[in-house]
Amino acid sequence: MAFREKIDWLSFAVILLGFSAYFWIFPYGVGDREGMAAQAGLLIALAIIFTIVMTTAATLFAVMRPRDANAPADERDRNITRRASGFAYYVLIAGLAGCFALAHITRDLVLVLNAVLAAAVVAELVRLGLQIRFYRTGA
Amino acid sequence: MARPPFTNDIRTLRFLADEMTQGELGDRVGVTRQTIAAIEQGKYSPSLEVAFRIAHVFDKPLEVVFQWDDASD
Repeated sequence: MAFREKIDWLSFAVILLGFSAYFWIFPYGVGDREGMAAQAGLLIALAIIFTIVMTTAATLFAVMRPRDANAPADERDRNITRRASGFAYYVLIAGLAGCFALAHITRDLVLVLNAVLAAAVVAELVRLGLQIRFYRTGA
Repeated sequence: MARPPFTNDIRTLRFLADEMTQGELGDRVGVTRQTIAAIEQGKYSPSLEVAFRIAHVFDKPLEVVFQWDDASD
């Protein structure tokens, strides 16, 4: 498995698990001030966990297969990234449109901010998932 | 994923070139081993530049490496 594919798998798993936990434990309905503080705290914790996990794993992968890790992206890598990103863009736009609609039916600012975050997370998962699929199927 | 409308003889040409590995061919062409594997298996259509580079490595004309598949017409 190529270095980039391994990183995509790991990113997909870490983002899926991390944000599932985030949306599961988030204290909904506590008010804007407390909600935004909780959001900031959880996101900082997630960012630290992501950084540690991804840095450790990427270093391990690079030590095991340094040639793979140092290889620049070739035309197939770029093609896969472009196609996956193009599709994920539409997912993001659809998600943000949903958030816009949500903002018109609720005054819960934290809920809307979490919906925006969810849209971005889903779009990123779609991008990573498609990249993995394209790597698996050849292009 | 639709297969490209052409086949290739890269595997045979690698064998005839002192059993060159996919990684060695990839290094000489400027792509990864995985990309060479995908091209060989007909899962990925390379750009014209990469196709010419592969043919150049084997010192063969492009049509010897890649053949249009008439059945795809």
